[in-house]
Amino acid sequence: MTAETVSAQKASREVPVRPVEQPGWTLRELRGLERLLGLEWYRLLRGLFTNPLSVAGLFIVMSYILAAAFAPVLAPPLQVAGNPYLIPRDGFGPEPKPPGAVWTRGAPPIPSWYKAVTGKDEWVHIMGTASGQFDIYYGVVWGTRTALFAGIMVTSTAVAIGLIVGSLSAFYGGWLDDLLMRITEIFMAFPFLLAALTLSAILVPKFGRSIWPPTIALIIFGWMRYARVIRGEILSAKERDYVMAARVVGAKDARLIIRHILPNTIYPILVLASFSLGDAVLSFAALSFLGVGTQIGYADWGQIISFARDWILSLDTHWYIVVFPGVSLIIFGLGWNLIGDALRDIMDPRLRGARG
Amino acid sequence: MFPPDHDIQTRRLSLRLGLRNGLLIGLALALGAWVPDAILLSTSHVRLLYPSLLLGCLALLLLGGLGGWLAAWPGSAFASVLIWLLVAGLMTLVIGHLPYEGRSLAVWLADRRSWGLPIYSFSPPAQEGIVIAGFFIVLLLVILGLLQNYRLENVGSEIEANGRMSGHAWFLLVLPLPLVFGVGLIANNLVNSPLRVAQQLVHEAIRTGRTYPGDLFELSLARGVNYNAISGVRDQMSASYSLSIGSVDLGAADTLFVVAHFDNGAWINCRVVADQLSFCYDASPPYQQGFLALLTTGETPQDCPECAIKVNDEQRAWLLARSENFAGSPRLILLAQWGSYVLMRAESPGSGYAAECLFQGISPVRLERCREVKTANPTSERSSSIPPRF
Repeated sequence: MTAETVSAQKASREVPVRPVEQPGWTLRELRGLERLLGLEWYRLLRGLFTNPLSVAGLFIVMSYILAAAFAPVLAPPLQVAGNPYLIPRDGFGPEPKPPGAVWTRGAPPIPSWYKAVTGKDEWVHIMGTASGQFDIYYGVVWGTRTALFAGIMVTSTAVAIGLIVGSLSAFYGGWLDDLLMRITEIFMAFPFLLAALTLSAILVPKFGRSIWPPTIALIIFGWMRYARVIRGEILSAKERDYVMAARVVGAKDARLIIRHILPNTIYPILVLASFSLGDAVLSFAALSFLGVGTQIGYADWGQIISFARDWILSLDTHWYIVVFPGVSLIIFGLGWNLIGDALRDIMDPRLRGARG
Repeated sequence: MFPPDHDIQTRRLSLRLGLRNGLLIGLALALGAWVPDAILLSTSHVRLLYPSLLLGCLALLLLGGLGGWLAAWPGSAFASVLIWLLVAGLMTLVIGHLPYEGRSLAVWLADRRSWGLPIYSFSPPAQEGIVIAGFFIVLLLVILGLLQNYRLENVGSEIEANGRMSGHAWFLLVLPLPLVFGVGLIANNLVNSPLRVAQQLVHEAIRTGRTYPGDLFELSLARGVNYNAISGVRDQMSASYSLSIGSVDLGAADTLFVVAHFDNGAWINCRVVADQLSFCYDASPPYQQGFLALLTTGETPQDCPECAIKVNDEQRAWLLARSENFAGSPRLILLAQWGSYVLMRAESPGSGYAAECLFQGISPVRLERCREVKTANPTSERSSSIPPRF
């Protein structure tokens, strides 16, 4: 080994490979979870679990998830085979029964926890019955599953479509951008709920009354804002130095979008999605309320509220038809909004370091 | 010029990971699509349940593995998307058609006599459920196809020096599988649930209603299952039985027939309309009294409407020409029942003459074809030059 080589190796060892330490800063190795998730995602999660608002939101959402998971324990289904989402009914009479009324016929099995908690032997309508004698408690508990399914399905699918359309549009620009954005604007020109209502009504004869027509309608008219937001973000990000640097070293388009641009631009979409999840459930309930959703008697909060339509003038007496499913809906939406709010705070560059 | 060893190794690794990724995606989709059926019907005595599910799992594993491997080959995101788009379409077809053609294939493999019969024809209204399921499968798999090369780069970078997958590498590889499993569950709900619910209902009605000491009508009101549907055939039932789908019409009628065979020889058809058990009845009259009368007189009994069999003139003439062979009291044996197809054998103990007839349909029953068969008795052995159909 020549003297020049040795001195060259020595010189190369002396090149600083770490960032220069600055006053007040300390350098440390990444810990397990930080390494696993990456710094940005770790900061996001840490912020979520340390922000009181988001903790409240997470608590609410987790409660709903647990209620959905343990629905067969909280409200055992009547049918031993068949569809457990059909709400058991205590007869067919139009007059709702108040909370605490005893089951007279067709009662589902008494839950195992019921006697221990209430000390009663008689299985009662905990939240009363709606018009048609549908048990509201059963509908609210099993409706949690419907709400979670509809919310997650609509939001995740709309986000996926929006991301694809927005990314292609912003990255390639030109005629593709024009075409995709004009399509987006056409979809945006329709009033959201009215368009979803119309499409859902068209789909019902095709697919039957089920969870799918309103879900599909909400997806089809719900992806545009994600496309617009991600387009704006990518338009700004694609001119940044790190994208240029990646382009210079020969990264292909797909790599640029997936590896470099999307990971740095997706955060606003997460905030939007968390807000939209509550909205999607509200819109789903609205469609059910208007009669283009699930079949009659399906455990769905919107439909239970719709049973109050005939009793709208006597809601001082029959308040329970609206209050229980309505409060479930409001708290569900609130939970997601709190999470969204906290996410926005965490990701807002102006607030970085202030929270989370 | 040959690529350096390092490139060859990287390429091999990429293909291996692509294959694993594809296999895992196929497996997760198969589990989501069929595990609910396998669990919920595990105690329902359903015939040939697992063979058809295994066929489906195999098909999805093959498609997934092939798709993952092929997508890793060109190393281009666009090509990967195209390949996964094609694979997603094929997977949707497999999931959508398994309850029909897939089930038929399982029957064909189990009993060669049924080979080629359209036992479970595809019910066109099921197409709508398949389209929705396909939309979600295609969307997810296209996104996974787009991300495949980049995900696998991360996985590859976590592989240990000895070439083994580290825990973190496995974690990265299985990370999207819950989503794939979820989409499989959606497909199950859209495609398989009508057939599963019908079999569950019939099993529940037989299991509970057969020995229930009280009033079945009251029990039906209390539990929401129409146990009363079996009241007419309850006495014929024994404890051991097997169920199979008879026919499927998911159109306006939304009707499925579930066939139950009991070990005492009883044979019951149950009609399920819109996920509700409607009624069960004895399935044997057309194949016993009806077939017997047809063999001996060429007509089904006028005083027995449930014995009716649709026969055309050519078939009647063929049977009448052989009616003298069945003089006396021919023995009727149920050889096989596959869906709405029933294969019966009629033997004349005296002459040793025998014929096998294939019937199709549940309501009404139609005679498809008959043929003379060789019997063990050499004196009555006749070669059959009869065309397979009348």
